[in-house]
Amino acid sequence: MRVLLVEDDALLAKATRIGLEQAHFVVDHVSCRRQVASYDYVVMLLDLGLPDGDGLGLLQQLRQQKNPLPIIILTARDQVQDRIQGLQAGADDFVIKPYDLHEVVARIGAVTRRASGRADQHIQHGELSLNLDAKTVDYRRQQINLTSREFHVLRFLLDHRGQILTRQQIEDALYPYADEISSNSVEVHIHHLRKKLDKTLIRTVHAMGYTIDRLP
Amino acid sequence: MKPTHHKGSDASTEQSSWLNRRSLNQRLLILLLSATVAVWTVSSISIYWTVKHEAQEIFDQALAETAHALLSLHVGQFQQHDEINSLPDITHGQHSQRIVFQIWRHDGQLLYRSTGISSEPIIPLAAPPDDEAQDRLEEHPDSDDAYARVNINREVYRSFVAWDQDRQFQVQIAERDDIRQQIFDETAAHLLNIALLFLPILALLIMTLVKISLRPLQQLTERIDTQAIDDLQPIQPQQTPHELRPMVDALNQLLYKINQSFERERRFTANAAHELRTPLAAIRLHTQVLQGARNSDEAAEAALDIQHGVDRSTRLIEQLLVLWQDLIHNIPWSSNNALIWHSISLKLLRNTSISLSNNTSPYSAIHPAPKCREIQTRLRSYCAICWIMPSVMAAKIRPSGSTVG
Repeated sequence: MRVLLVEDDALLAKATRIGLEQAHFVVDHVSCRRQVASYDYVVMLLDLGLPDGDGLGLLQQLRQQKNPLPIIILTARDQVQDRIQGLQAGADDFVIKPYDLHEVVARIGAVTRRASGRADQHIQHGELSLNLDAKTVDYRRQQINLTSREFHVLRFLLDHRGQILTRQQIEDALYPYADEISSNSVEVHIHHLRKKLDKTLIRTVHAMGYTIDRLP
Repeated sequence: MKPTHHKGSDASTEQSSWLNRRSLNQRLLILLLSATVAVWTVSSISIYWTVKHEAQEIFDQALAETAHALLSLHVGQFQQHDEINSLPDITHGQHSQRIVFQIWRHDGQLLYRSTGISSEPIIPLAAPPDDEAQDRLEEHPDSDDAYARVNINREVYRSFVAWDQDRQFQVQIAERDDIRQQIFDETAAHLLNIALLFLPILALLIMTLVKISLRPLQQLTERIDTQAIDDLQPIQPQQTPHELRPMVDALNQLLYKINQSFERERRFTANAAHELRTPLAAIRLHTQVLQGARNSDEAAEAALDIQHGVDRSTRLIEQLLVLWQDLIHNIPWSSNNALIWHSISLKLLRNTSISLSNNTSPYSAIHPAPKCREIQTRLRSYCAICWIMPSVMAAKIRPSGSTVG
């Protein structure tokens, strides 16, 4: 899952980025508002005290543009008024520094779960079951061992069931923009998933991409 | 040289402070009631003396008219009778002791005397007045020349002498002075009793009016009393009398200043908290990164970052302590500017390697000139935003031993 971290403190941003990567998130970090180039993320972690303007401004701007991107505020402002202001401006959650990495990961999970309309941290698709907290996969009552990348490709496809996802979209969800990616990495992950699960689960749409069909 | 002691001045100050200790309601009541009683007393005394004088004139006039009436009624009879007491006594009854009179002929023969009076003239007999005097008496019958105070039978009487037109007969008439005084005293006492009866009514009226007049002040007090202690919203001046507006405005200004002060302190505290929490958050996260390190390189890097975070926090805390000391000791420098200065300093501390010291007033930087120039430039740009004179800020950070140009 791709996360956008907007944090001007380099040391804190580095720790947050590495910590989230350890939790299998793909993190893009920017240190100010003007560096934000895209909002194609599952969640945005937003610091309020940014060098080129208040983070609340960016938040309000996004909400005015009807952008539903889940946003978690990470800030040292601990006053009740600040929290109310942040939530009223459109934030989905509010975490006060110094925060715990596990708590942030849990809050990201909660926020994305609410955004996708799920009731819990499980994705069920026929005989396939994904536990998003434990990062485990069961298929036909058997636990399947998947790598982190494979798990996230499967989750990404299940999150967008019925939609055809291009190779580029899958790559964007898996890797930071700055990373060098081999040209066939997505095909390799899809191949491994078909081999470990079921050949018919992921369908290739010629010249377009991949999809997991909705169950009838 | 001994200080001079002014008793009058001290008494006045004491009275003033005594009055100042009273509530506005009590003060107004005391002052208004005192003034009313004083005015009432002075006017009563004045009225007493005026009425007394007027009553004296009325009594005198009545005495003179009685004398003339006696003359006009009996002159003809006097001309026909030579014997004393041949006329009927007209002074019988209750007035016999109050008014006495004698009728004398110009040659000194007593023609008539009322009951209770001897044959001795009430006042020494004198020659009839000449024409000029007679004319003057006729023009001014109430002239004091005709009146006198005499003693008859150990009583003081007010006497009056009147001559007939031909200056053949004179009437000497006298009225007891104590009875006149008694009549006047009774009348005055009656008047004073009525006025005294109105005095408490007047006091009650003053108290009620003072209470009604001070009601807006009472309402304002109640409004302020009921305002929550953390509610610094301005007091609405509606329904406040014109005279109270300046006070309400001053109160609102004070509330505004307190609010601003709280806001500035809150902002400074929030900034300080932010600057402290950020490196603490970094240390905590790097610790967790270290715990979950995927390889030895990542672990080593996390350990190094923890060390950086600790160093940065230590330095930041030291600098914050310096800032706080300055905030406490140099607050007269202008609390507004000082807090803005501290906020700017906090921001700069995060991004630069400068150190602040409070060894000299209020700060001196211990860094080479180029670094200070950079900081000065940055401060100037901040100050331009904050409307603070750049020169003031330039004086705050400078190379050791240098002067600000």
